[in-house]
Amino acid sequence: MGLLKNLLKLIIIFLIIDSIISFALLELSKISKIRYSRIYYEKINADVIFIGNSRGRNSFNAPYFEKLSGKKSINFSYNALPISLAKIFLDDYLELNQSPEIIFIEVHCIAEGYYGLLNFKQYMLSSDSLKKMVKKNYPKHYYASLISKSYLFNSEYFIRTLYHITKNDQSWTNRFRIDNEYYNNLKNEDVFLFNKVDESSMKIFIEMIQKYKKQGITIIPVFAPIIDKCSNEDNIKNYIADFESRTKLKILNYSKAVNDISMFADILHTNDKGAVYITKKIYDFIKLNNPAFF
Amino acid sequence: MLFNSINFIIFIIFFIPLFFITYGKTRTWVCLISSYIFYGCWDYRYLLLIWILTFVNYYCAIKMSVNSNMDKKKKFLLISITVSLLILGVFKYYNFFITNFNSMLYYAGVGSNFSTLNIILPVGISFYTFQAMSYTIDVYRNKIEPENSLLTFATYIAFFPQLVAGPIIRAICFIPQLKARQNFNSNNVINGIYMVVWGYFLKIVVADSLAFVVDVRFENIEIQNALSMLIGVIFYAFQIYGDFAGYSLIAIGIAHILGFSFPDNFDRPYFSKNISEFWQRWHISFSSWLRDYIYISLGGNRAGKIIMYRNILITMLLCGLWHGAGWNFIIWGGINGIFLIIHRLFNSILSKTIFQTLSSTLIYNLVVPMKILFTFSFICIGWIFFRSHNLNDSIVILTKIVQINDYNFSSVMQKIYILKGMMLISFLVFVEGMSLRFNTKKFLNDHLNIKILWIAFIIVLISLCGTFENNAFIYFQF
Repeated sequence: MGLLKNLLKLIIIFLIIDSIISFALLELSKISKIRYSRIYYEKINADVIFIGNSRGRNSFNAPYFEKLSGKKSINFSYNALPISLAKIFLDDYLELNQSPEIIFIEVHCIAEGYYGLLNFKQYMLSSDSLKKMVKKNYPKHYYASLISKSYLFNSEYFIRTLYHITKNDQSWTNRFRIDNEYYNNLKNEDVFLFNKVDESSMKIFIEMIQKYKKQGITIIPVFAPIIDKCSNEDNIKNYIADFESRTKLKILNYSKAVNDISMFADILHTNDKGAVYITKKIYDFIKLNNPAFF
Repeated sequence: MLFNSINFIIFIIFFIPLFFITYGKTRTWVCLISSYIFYGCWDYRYLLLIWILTFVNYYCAIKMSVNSNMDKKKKFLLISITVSLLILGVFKYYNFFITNFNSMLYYAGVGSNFSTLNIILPVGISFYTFQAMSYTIDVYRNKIEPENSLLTFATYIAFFPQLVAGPIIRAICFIPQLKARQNFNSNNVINGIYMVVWGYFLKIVVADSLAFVVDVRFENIEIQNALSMLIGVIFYAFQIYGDFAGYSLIAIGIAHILGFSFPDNFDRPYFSKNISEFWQRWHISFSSWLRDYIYISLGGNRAGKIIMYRNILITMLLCGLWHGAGWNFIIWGGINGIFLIIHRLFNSILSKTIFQTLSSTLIYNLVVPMKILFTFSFICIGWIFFRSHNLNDSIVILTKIVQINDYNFSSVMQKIYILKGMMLISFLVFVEGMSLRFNTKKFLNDHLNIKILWIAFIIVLISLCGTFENNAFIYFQF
């Protein structure tokens, strides 16, 4: 009996401590300036949204676009963000905010997988879609989070959430600059080939296009830069042709837009300098083709 | 089966009730069969090695006890030690020695090339062979009576909590407990849970979180700056501590739940004030094994200082070799041996002169932390050799770390994980420091409710900061 009493005490105390800690952490998540916390706990009402994976994160500079255009802009890109997650974040955003005028999407996030899904499990408390997705793909983790709410905050992303408690994360781009030695050492086997978008990801993306169009949102796909020595022109041409024929959307192709190697952090990612350059190009494109936007 | 796997949780949920509803021989059978299942889940074929060790050591010990003739006793001791070392030698060291022998032949210009064996290292082989050897040597030295029951002896060798990564339990400590009836005791269960939970915290939270930062640094040495590499080394010191002390605590805690009392295997080693003290606090069951069966057998400190230094060096070189069949481990052992010798050489002079002079001054308050810091630095130098893939890497790391002008935090990678690691290390040091200063172990034993509160808090921390990826324990490879 003594043991049962003590074990019961342990469970009750655990649940109390767990609730107190998870409550405190949720409050911190709510006040954090990190991108996805702002979706759920802040009215953003942006005019322009950028989204993508790490290529999007390192190619778009939302504050700079806002400065150039005067339009409220936000970047929702994150490392390895797949389209299924991007859709959840955008759908949730649109439910809680007024529709933006334009969404720029870096096309390489239109890919399969749930990589990184568990990184964002803290938002299961605010997003039913995210909760369903975690339950379906990671049932063990889902049930663990039912037992311990603190587990929702066990992620690399949550440490970033704390880091951005007072500091806006919109200028988060790679600061590395490759040098001539790095560039000269690139070989043929470093050429990066882009795979065509798989069926299921394309299906999700087309659903997004149809849904967002109805809400008056323009979707503009963007192909972010790749270092010239590692790109294969035919591969990129085929990728773009396939993408455009399936989506009926024209890609803003910046694959070869950057020639200055000091704008790259590695072969696939521009750095802060490159992001400013690409953002300016996007701004110039909109100014030229859609002056009414301003 | 890993302690940090779902399979083990299921295993233990079935095992504990089964253990308590049985008694006598049936209970010992439950322990033995469960232990074989535990080991067999990794690779059932290697159970054969455990059986051979069990039978040979059991038989030789019995034979030694019935023979009063010292020569015959020695013969059986030699048989048992030879079989144990042969198993260890073939499975752990054969390829290492053959590779080195081939290299020697190559440099000597002789063309012959002996082939290596394509075998995997049986998990925990160093632990259970040393445990079996300690039993036979103790019987030979008349320290214990041989165990007549093969069932009890087999359970002593294979008992699952300490089978694959220690602690190395002496027969004199464990066999009498196996024979005595262990009654269910709720205090034992709570104390056991406390140890298990803290052990999991050390492994899943501390060691596995730090591993992520450590691996990146030791696998990409050339792109790290001095600060980054230093962080990697310090984190590794705490990773290996969390990993190994965590495993030991889980093992001791599980045994405690069942009513068995195992001695501590780690006693806050990084608070040691000198290298000698460190080796009395680190992997205690193994250090005491080396002391009792190698250092003392070599003559210990009875035959003059020079012989004593030789014995220390031999013991520590073997300590290194025990950890792994690689030169980096032997060098690590050698470095620790040299540090121990240096400490013995200068300790008496330093204690009598400098520290005694300072003892009445305020500066003395700084001496203890400084000694702890110095000892930790020396230990870290050893860990560089232990963790590196080869001697060249170790030297590159040491060279990098001393480049004072290369300490630049802005180009250090994984800042977020470093921040997390630093917080965890600070928490660990704080908790261990408190336990050393205020004897919190006794305090918690006297205040059950506070102990339960502490356990609950640590479980929440595991949930919040744990790495749940079934990372293997470092010491499994030894």
